[in-house]
Amino acid sequence: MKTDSPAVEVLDLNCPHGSLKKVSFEIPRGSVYALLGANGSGKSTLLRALLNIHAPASGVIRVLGRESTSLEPGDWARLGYVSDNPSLPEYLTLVELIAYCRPQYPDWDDALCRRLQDQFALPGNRRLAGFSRGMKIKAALLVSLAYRPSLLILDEPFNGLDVVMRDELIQGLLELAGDGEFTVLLTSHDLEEIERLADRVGLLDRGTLHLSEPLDDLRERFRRVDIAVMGGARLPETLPDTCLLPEAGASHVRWIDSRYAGDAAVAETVARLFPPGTSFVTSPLSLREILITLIKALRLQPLNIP
Amino acid sequence: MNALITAQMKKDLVPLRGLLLGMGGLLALSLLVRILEATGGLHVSGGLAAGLQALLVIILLIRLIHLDSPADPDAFWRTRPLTGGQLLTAKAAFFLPPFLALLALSQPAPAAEVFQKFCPVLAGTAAFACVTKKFSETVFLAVKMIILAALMNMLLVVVVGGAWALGTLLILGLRPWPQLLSGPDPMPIGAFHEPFSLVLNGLVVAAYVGVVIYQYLTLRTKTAVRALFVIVFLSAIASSVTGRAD
Repeated sequence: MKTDSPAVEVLDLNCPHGSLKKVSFEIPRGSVYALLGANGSGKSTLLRALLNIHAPASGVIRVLGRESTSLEPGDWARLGYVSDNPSLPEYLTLVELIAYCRPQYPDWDDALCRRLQDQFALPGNRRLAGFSRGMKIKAALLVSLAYRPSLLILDEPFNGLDVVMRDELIQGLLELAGDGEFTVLLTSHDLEEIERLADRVGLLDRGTLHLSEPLDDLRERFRRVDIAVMGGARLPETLPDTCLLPEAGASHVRWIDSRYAGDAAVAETVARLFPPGTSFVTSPLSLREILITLIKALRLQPLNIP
Repeated sequence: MNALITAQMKKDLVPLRGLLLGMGGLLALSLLVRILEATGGLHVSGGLAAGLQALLVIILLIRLIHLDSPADPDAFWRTRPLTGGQLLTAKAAFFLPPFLALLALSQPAPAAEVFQKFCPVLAGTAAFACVTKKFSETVFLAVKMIILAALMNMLLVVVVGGAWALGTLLILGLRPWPQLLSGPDPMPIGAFHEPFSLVLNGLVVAAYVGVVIYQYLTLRTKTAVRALFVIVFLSAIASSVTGRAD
């Protein structure tokens, strides 16, 4: 098994479950990758394909350097997975669950396990069946973190967690990620948490992955461009493909530049499309605004987003 | 024993200890009845106790398999470093000791009789349970397959019986009907002997166990269900030919 390979490599993946279409991306080791998209976009299906729960129709998936269809116990011992509705053996108490999981993992860290149990404030001798949804997610997280996995896959991990717990979870993940070998792949609708946690993002819409890149690059290349227009604003007839969701107001024209390369480049475009002396302002977008822009643009122009 | 397998067995013991205690209690009761019978103080039919024990064994087997169903892609164990082979070993190690103890202590009948009557049922139960996720699904699938087997049986009897009658009519057409009907066993269904039936039972058990092993090692539920269908189909044919009622 290659140790210098990415934590996850997906190449031309087609999967009948969730209709994933030619999905390709990589997650470098040590990164925190957030897979974003609307409900039903195929995020959970993609995670389940990575874990060989769904068999791909075609394409290649490599997880920690090994094809997902031939993962062995040694690979699973370095993988953690927590779904949004974890299917735990609910007839066990937390203590019994830990006793069940511990022998499966050579790298089980008892001290970390105790620390997480204290941090999550989980009762050890109560059956998991009596736990709330949030507590079950915490229990699943506990038995997926205590062996310090190389790759942790989290499907909507913040669902059911209170604000304090979310914060603690993010802190805990960032601490673990600090050693450079720990990779996290997560899906979530909580963009605020994603912005704090992730360093790379992917956008999946109706089974197609439209982007996969570092979060900073994404923030850097998206800008809102506001152009002040005198005497009645009208959209120019020909706008570059990179100008998304153009709109004209009473005295302004606005669009989102998806390939922002500095104000000088914007000035050139404005000079070409508007009368001399037209002024403009560019402003950065939050991740939420970028995603809303992309999803709206995909609805309008489903083939591709520049 | 491997620590993984021991941990798995300990985990399974938690939800099943009530059932095991019930089985133990029933076994103690039937032993007590047998002692009382032997001393001549009591005459009770052991049929009810034996039936209850068989039922408990079947429930234990289904519950044990469904605790970590190999047919459930979302089962907890599926994303853990546990192979299907290890899981099967743990399940077998959990089930076989109490089952064999029960068999040894509660069955005065010869082993061959037990093998003939109960083992195919038990192996079939295991096979049906390991391709389903819930008790209700197991029952539903078993009922579907039994209906299918019965239909196959009927179809076979009609087709083979009709062909036999037609052939007889064509060959011995000159013989009068009453003579034909009163002849000694005009259709050879049920003519096979007990040893053949025993071998057949052995094959059925082996086939069901094969499905269980296949399912645990490959987790290919659809293929395992197809194999079950073939087994039920073939055993329906075989039971028609041998006249075996199961």
